[in-house]
Amino acid sequence: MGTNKKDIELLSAYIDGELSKPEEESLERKIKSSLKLQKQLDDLIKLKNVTSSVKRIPESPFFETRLMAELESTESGKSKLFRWSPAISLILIILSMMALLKFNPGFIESIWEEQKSNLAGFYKENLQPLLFAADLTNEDIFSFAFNNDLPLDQDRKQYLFLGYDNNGKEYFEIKNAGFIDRRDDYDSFIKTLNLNKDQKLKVDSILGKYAEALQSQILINDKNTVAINPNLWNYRKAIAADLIVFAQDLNNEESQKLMPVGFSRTDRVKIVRAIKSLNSVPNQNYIFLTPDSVFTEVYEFDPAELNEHMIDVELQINEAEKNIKKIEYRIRYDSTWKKLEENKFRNHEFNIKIDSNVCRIVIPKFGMSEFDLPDFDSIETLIDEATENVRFYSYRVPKVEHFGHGFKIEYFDGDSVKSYEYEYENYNYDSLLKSNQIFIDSFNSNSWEQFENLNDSIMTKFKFDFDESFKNFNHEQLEEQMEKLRGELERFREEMQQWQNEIRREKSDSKLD
Amino acid sequence: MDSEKLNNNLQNSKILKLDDDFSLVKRFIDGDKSSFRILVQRHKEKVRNIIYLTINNSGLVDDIAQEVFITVYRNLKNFRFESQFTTWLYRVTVNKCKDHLRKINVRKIFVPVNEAEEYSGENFSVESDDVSEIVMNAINKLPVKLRMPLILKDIEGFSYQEIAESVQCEIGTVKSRIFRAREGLKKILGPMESELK
Repeated sequence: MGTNKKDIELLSAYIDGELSKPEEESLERKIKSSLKLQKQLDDLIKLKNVTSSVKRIPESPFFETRLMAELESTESGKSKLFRWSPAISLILIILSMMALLKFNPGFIESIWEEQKSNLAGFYKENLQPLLFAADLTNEDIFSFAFNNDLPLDQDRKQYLFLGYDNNGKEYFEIKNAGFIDRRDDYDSFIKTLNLNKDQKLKVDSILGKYAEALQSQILINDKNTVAINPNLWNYRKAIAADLIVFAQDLNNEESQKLMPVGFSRTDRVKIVRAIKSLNSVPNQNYIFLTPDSVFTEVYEFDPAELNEHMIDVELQINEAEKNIKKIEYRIRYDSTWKKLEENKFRNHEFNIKIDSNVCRIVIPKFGMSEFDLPDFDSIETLIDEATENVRFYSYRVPKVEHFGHGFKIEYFDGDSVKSYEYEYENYNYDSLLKSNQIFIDSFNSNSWEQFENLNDSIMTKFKFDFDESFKNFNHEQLEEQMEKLRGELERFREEMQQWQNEIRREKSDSKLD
Repeated sequence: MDSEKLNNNLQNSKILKLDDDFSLVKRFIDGDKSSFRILVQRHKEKVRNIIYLTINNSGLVDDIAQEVFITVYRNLKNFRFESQFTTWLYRVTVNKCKDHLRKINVRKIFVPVNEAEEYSGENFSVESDDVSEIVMNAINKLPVKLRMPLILKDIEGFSYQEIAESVQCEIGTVKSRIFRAREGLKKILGPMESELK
């Protein structure tokens, strides 16, 4: 039996014990019959013995110690990296944000919008009609129509005031009670028209109807939020117009002095039509004034649903009232506002003016709803004139008219209109004292803005009084009058001296007698 | 009967040993870092020997062995328990040795011949009287791919299966390489047959 390379290769595996049983048996048979294979096997076994006898490397007793020290230093190296990890993370975040903003520039804006929405949601919670929260009476509704103000709380500490600025833009103010002149306006109105009890009840019912409508126009909550529907300005005009028209029906003769000059039947029809259309305006846009923001948002307030669930709602309101009663809009005036340029605010949707007593929000873009508001513009002059007449005749608020060298004051004393002309040139002490009190009474504290924007309103009021009173004060005239007074006093002293001398002379004559 | 009992014991001891490595690895993964020291103590000498026999330079053995265990330490948490721990450990060792030898071959290209010999440690001398040294030098004359299986088989006593897993090749290839290594070694040691006796 010849030997081949394959068998010799098998011998190598054979001495390693790596052959299968059949391979092993087959190879063993070949080895027995082949001297060459036996020789090969002997050589391989000898070689394996030689290689197996190779010396091993001596043990290293400090290997683990060195290894563990190395591992520890590697780990602490990692921890050094961890120490810098906040800075590394920050850099990575900044880089990520830069990449994000590069490829998605609207990202921040979307977060901003979301946060605005969350904030709006927070301030929209638990909104209740002001009517319930402030216990608005018919007197309050009437005063709103002709004085433009409504109390915001039961204690009458703060008022909401609606107005128009010098540019004719609508604004509203939250102001402290000290800036509101409270009078018995409603009673004066009734007396002016000589209305009887039944007629007064009819006026009451009109005011009641508007009180109901106003429910959805002003909402407040315990988070110091005041939500105002822009239609409120129209409601104020509508109440005033409705009352004037109704007054004409009740007492045509007495109401004539309240009616605008040239008031026609066509004007009356226009007014009635505008009033009717007002209730059909489904405006859900509200202006929200909150302690930290002013914004417009859609808010669905359903007065019908409110009426349906009145019992439950009343219970809720009674509960909520504990908080709502305490509503007090804290006007915090930061004097650094003065340093800001006014134009800066005009870029915003709302123009905000604030001092420690008044917070005014001017609304440049009035009429945020897409539908048409009732056409009050055409009858606005009539309503304004009628409102002025009510203020003049019923409230007896003097009218002040300025002219070149002075001004004219007119007022109604209950019987007739009195007038008083103030001439700066003919200035004297008496006229100063008289006119100053009238001035203070007739001073419209709502005009503080025109004098010095953002000045504290109280200071503005006194500044105004002082400036108006002494605006044309002439020191030479005063000195002249003082000189005259000194002359008078000197004459009086001389006369007294003469009188004393006469008395003494009479006494000495009687002794001689 | 006695041989059956012995086989069972051997098998049991093998299982116990396997469980031992596995349980240490498991403890390490669970956060007990001290178990790694036990694994090192248990396997360090075999690892050092494989390196020593493969690169034939005692001065570098501990450095390369350290690299082996640091690699194992960093990757042990990813151990999947699909093969023995030692199989993975020796594969890492073989690869580190290959990396080292590859670096030496690169250096040989760029440095003078004498210095290159110092790097490689291939200071074969027929005048040596030490049989072990003669054989070691002869083994180091073999190509690496033949040298490694031969060392793992004849010196470390690995099975063909274990060698195949360590050097990452087929069993048939291992068988062939060991045969060729022995054939080559016979030729190298032929002239020194008398010294070997």
